[in-house]
Amino acid sequence: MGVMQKFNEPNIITTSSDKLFNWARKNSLWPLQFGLACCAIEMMSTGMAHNDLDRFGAGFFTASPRQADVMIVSGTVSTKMAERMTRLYEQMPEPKWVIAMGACAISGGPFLDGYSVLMGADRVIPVDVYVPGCPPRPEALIFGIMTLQKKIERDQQVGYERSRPALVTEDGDFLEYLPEREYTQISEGKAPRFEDIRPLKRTYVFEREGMPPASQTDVGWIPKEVKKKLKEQKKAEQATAEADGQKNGSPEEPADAKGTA
Amino acid sequence: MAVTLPEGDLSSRLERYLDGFKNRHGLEEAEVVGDTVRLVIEQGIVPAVLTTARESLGILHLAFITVVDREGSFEITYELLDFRGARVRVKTTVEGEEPVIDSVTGIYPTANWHEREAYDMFGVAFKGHPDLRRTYMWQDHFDHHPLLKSFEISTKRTFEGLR
Amino acid sequence: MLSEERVTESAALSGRASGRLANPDVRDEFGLETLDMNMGPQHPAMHGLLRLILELDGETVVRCDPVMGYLHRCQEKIAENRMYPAVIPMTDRLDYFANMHNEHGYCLAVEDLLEAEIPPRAEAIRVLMCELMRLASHIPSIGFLMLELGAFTPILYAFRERERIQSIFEAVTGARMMFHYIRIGGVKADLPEDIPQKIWDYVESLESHFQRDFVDLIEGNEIFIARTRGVGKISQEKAVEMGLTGPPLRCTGVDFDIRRDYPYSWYPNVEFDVITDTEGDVEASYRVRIGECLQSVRIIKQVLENLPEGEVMADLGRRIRPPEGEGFGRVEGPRGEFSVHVVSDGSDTPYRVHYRDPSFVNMQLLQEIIPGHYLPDIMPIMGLIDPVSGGWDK
Repeated sequence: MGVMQKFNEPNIITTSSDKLFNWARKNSLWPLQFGLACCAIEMMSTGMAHNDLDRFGAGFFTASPRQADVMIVSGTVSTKMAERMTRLYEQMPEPKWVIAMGACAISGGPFLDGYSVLMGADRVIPVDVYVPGCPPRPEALIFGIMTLQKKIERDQQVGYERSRPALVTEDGDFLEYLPEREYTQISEGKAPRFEDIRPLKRTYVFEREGMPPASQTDVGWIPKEVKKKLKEQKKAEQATAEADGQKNGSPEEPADAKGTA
Repeated sequence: MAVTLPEGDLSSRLERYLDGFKNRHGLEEAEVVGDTVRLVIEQGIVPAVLTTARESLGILHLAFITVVDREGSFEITYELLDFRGARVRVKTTVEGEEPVIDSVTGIYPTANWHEREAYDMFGVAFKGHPDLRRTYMWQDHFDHHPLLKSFEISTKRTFEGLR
Repeated sequence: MLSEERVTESAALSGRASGRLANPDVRDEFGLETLDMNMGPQHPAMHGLLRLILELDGETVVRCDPVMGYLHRCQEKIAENRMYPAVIPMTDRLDYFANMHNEHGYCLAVEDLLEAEIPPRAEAIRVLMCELMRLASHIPSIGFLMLELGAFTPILYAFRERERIQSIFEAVTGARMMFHYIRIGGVKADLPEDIPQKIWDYVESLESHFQRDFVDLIEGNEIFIARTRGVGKISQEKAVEMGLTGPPLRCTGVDFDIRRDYPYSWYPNVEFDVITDTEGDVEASYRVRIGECLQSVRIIKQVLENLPEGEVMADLGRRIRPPEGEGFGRVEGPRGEFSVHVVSDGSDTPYRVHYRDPSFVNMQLLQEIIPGHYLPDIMPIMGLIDPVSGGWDK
């Protein structure tokens, strides 16, 4: 791994090794047994024979955080448990990911107005994948793990900024990896009406500094016909650009073959 | 070692329980409704009444202890089951902001955690309880008792103004 | 540190607790002390978030102190701010292995307040769903007990059964786990037409392979017997004193079942036996649960044969607004007596809802029984009580 740190930019070696490492990591995600509440039962069902999680490599639920890759927060996080959850998260070695499973782990769920319920696991730890549902079906959890696998594929060992989750507030400043724990004011005993409650802070994943996540600009899979159309459109634009260039008087070869490239 | 369960016809047993309570204690209200003997008593004689229930009448199971916060006073309900169809429901009222009542853990040991929960949620102190500490909330810096009506959560006023 | 009386008392509790600390010469000569250990909220025993503060003398537990509250979800407080029908999904999430029973208990309490009459078909369907849920709860309980003893196969078989039952539930109610099916006044919707046949077929197939898969596989196993026979032995008096209900009480020999003794819903029209065992240890509770599974199958068959016709929902008006008063509902859940106390003040929302959950009360046994046992015996004892953390933490 010392070889990696000599490279400042991605090149053929780092991308190949990235592919290898990411392939290895995503296909053997060992989850931490962190079943909190009802979602834990669906997580167990996902690990059992009918919806088998073992075929994704993620079937070995380990009890010790030192051996775990991914922490599936399944269930309501109460404020008492949040401390222990962050301690477990800190004990997991890098690289580590977090899947927030179920409505309670995402945002507090049906117990949002409870006095001892944390409004979402992402208030205290950075979350990579959110799987909605109450509880999510095993198929949904499998989809969540597959999404995490796709995310791991995009990991870079060497890059402009190694993609790691970070917590960015809405004002734009990066918080420390584990921000100050914030608990809802509700536990103080005097709850204002809904309008006055602080809005939830979002967690963004930034891969290149200053740029929105790739998924917002990345279109994904395009059907063949649409691709062809877009190509022709692009060619047409290029042709008009060339034509304008010629009109403006720059001596250029009549680019016919090139323009249609 | 073996536990004897009561025998006999339900209504005769209910009458027997009612008479047993009436003969031994001064009760505010006592009646038989359906399969329940309903008693309303004063807070001081709660341990005595429950001792009667356990020792003399053979009612062995304390199902639950509920506290209801009527702003200003607390209404505590004890529900006892003899295992064969009869119920005894004992109600007391405790006044004041910081209520204190005698514990029944010596009579029905199962009341231990019920009373701890009542203390945690409402602040009702039980005198003579072996281990009165909080069950659900954290013990160190949480000075509130959550289920009191004065402890508001964010959805408390959702239905304000609507009936 | 450890006072002499407590050590000798704990040593006297059972023959297994012969710690070296009990012997004062050994203790002073070697300077022995007990070890305070924390069996923290996250541990691989599946029963939920429970923290046990243990004081150990070697392998023997001398003192055990359960700390709860790691999943406290403020259900009783939130229920005061929801309308009566909207509390039903919250009760679903109380004891999440027995969702139907929770809903049933709450609906019985509110119907007691309203003094409503439930149509017979609705009652029969409620009992049918509750017994299916009991199956779906007892079978994974056995699986978890075996998983904690180290066997992986029974839990796979258990979850296979649970998946099949969950697919029946999905056909009837639309959801795999949080059903929101039993409503105030009846059930949400009638059974689909092919469901009674499907349930019948499933239950017959379960009966045929139940003996092979869950009894023959486990009962004679040396390791199972060595680890569960004599472990967690409770006497009848202690069980009744601690307020146990359900399988932990019946495995000691006390013959109490709310379905028979305080009958509700369709149970008076159904014949079944109450399974008891005399031993009072973990193996006895396993046998009681197996027996109850077979009795549930019997009840399901009887209900399916005699399913009455009619509507499934009583006409209680568009708005559930009970008069002032209180209502009590009590059901026999898979873990014991689940009862709900609803206090109403005449408005749309309840004034107070109190859930008496069996897991909460049965857990008191841990403080009493575990001292004197070895550390690995804690898991089978949890299998005896079979608590569910949504229950004890509400």
